[in-house]
Amino acid sequence: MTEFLKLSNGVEIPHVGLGTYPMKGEELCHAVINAYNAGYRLIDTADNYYNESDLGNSLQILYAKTDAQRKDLFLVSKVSDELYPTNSIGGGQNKGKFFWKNSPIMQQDNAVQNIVRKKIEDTLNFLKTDYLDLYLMHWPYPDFFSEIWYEMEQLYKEGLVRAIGVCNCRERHFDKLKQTCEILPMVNQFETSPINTRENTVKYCNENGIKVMVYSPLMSLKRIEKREYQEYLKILSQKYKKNTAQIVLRFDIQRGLIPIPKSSHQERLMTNISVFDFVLDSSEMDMLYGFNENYQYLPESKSCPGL
Amino acid sequence: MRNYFIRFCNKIVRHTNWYNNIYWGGVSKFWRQNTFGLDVVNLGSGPALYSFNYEENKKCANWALWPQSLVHDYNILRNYFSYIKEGGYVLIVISPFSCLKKIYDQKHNFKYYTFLHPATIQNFDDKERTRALMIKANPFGQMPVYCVKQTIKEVLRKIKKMLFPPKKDIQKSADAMMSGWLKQFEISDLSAPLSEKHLTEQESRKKTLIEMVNFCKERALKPVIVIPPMHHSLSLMFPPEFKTNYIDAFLSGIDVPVLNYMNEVLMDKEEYYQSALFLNEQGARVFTKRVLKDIGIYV
Repeated sequence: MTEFLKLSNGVEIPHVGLGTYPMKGEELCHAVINAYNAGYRLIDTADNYYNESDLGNSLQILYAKTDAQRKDLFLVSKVSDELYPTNSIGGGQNKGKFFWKNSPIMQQDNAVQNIVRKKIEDTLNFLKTDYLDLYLMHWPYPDFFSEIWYEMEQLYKEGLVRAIGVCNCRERHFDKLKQTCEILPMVNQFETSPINTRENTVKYCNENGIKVMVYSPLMSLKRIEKREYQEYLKILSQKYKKNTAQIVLRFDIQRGLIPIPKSSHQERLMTNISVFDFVLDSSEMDMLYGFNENYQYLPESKSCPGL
Repeated sequence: MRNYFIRFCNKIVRHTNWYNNIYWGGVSKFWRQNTFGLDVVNLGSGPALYSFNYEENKKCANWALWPQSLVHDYNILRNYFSYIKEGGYVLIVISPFSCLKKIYDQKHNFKYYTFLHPATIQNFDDKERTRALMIKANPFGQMPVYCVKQTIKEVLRKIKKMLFPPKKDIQKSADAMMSGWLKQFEISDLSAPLSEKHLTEQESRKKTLIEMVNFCKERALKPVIVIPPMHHSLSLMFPPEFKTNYIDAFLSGIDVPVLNYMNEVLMDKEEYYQSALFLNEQGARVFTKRVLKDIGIYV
């Protein structure tokens, strides 16, 4: 079972969650049920994962088949630009349709307000719920960053969402928001790992009461060229009788971060959440920090130019 | 069988110069871009493309394309800056007429669909995007006759070049370059102040340049403006008033180091040039080393 942390507004958030991209249909349904049974309570999705409807259906099945109720779950979604369909040429790439000043749709009056409102309405309908636990801005869209945040603040004030946050933001994004916002983001979701520790951003978030959620937390395991790192993970996994994924997730837990690994395998779902029964000592944490090489696997600027 | 044949032809086409450097204007380097933590990148147009050769430095990248305006340089930077390390250098390479606007064909826009975010493509057209990506995915399948024609032409050009190697005429290329510029920008007197139209263009380009510089600084990148060298047969055609009106005025008030090699004596050796404006491989290697030394890295 997961432990819980507290967001700056007092809302409790599970310390580990389930990432759902790119699961759909039956795979997603099985993952959700298995995850719940393994102790997961946080489920992360986004409007442009195009699986919110499947997730909503999966949740209905979950409520029917188990003792789960809506209030037991912490649902996270995101407001995003549209993507090209995966079965089209260049599928999965950003369309530049929403939140970019060159887009025709953004020339309309109150475009940001109308789009954000429509998106949260769709998300709540798809997830078959009347509130969201956490709503995130998927990228710090530079053309309308403050405007999108303003609309999210309104959703929060109206009680449609219990918490609001951002993704992929650096310190300068928060500094910009601080000039105009009423509410500072409660969460910043981005990719970090022992080989990409992002210490400055994590420190800034900690100092400002912003919890850090980690997507693709196990990506560093694929960096097989970094032999010393992989070897050290194996040493720790033998010592603690855990697998290397659990070591990496424990590193995140001890940093106070909220990892949201994605898996549809029952066994992996169970092991990914079994990370609260051991502690890495400070020298082991330091050693893991020492593998940092600011490694990126995703060129973020290609997804959000000018972020 | 047909699929194998098309795949085989695609493989040949993808190795041709006409496909990579003329049809797609050299953008395939962006399709292959996967090195993070770059120490130095340069942007720019033709002069930048031929001035930088980083074969000895794997953590550097030449992001220049030809032709390319400052606006497109900025768009490339916005899309690709994640590949540059914090503290990395961004060499903004400008040419004598960078402050003026050139009219670009829609066809010059076509290549950007294959590697830039839609929001950063001017006059974005979904149909153009689909067409570009389909050709990129399957060039021979999409335009077989064109591919065969261009490939044969390229082979014939190579044979001709082997049998009758062209003679380098730097002076002739200088004359042609200058005459082309004067016609393109409707300038009759290089000593004269800028026209109203050109002053407006300069103001607009300056705004873009300032945005680029600020963009770099906000992201802890180090912008440096670089003016590449040219052969004296071309540089001597620019009177001192040209430098004042077209370059100094363009760069005035912008708080960024400027490395101006336009009249650099040490680079003024004919063996370094393929034309009056463009360095050859040897010249580019020498110039690149010089710039890297001048900005203080790889010393």
